[in-house]
Amino acid sequence: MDKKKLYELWIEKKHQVEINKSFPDKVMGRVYEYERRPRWFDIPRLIEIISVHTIIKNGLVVIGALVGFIRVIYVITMVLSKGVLNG
Amino acid sequence: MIDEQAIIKNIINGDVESFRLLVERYQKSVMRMAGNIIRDRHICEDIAQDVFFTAYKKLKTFNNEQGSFSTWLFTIARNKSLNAIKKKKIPLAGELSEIVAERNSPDILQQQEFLNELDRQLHSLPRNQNTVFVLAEFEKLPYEQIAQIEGVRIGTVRTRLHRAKRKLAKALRLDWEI
Repeated sequence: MDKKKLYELWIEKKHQVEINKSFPDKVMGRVYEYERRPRWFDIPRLIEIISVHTIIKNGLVVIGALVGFIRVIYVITMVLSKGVLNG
Repeated sequence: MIDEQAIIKNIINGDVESFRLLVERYQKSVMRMAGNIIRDRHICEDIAQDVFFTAYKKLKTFNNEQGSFSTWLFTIARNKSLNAIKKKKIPLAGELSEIVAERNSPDILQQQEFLNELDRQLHSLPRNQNTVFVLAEFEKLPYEQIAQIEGVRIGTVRTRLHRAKRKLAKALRLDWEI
C-alpha cells in the first residue's frame, strides 16, 4: 500500500468514532444531579451566577474596593491616633 | 428533526430532558473532536461529558446571533481538550495504530510505522496548527466555522492548515502535497 493510500486511510480512521451507548445517560445523570443541588449555598452555582451577570460582578468589585478603602482609613486613623497619644 | 433553537428554548424554560436531544445529536462530533486532540479514549470520554455538562450549565449565555450552537459547543470541546493537555493529564506519546494491524502483508511493519509516525507528527505540531488540522481534515468543518471556534480570521486558519500540512509532509518525507 503506498503512502498516499495510507494517509487517506488514516484520515478516514480518524473521522470514525465509537460511542458508548450509555454516553447520553451519563451526561444526563450529571445534569439531573446538578439540577437536584440546592440553588443557594452552592458555591460553583454562585460563581456561575456572578460570572454571568455583569451587574453582580461589578457590584462585588465595588463592595470589595469600599471594604478595602474603609480598612485602609481605619488603619491610618489607628496609627495617627496612637502617634498623637504617644507624642 | 426538531429545530435546535426550539430545543434550547425548552431547556432554558426548564425541560431538562430536552438536553438529551442535543447530546444525542452532537455526541459523535464532540467525541471525535476530543479524540483527535487527545488519544486516550477514557480521558476523551470524560472530557466529552464535561463538554456537554458545561454546555448545559452555560446554555443561558449562548447567543445564536454570534454563531451556531455547534460552533459554540466545538469551542467548548476545543478549550476543554487543550486545557486537559495543559494540565498534563494526557499522555502525549504515540500509540500503535490499529488500522493495518490485522492485515497480513509483508510490509505490515513499515505501514504501521508510517501510521504511527503520522500520529506522532500530528501531535508534535504546535497546538494551534494541530487543532486547525483536526477541525479541517478530520471534522471536515468549513474554514469559517473553524475561524469562529479558534477565534481567528479565515486567513489565519488557511495559513495554519497550510503550515501543518507542510510540516507533516516534510517530516514524513512525502513526495506529494497533503
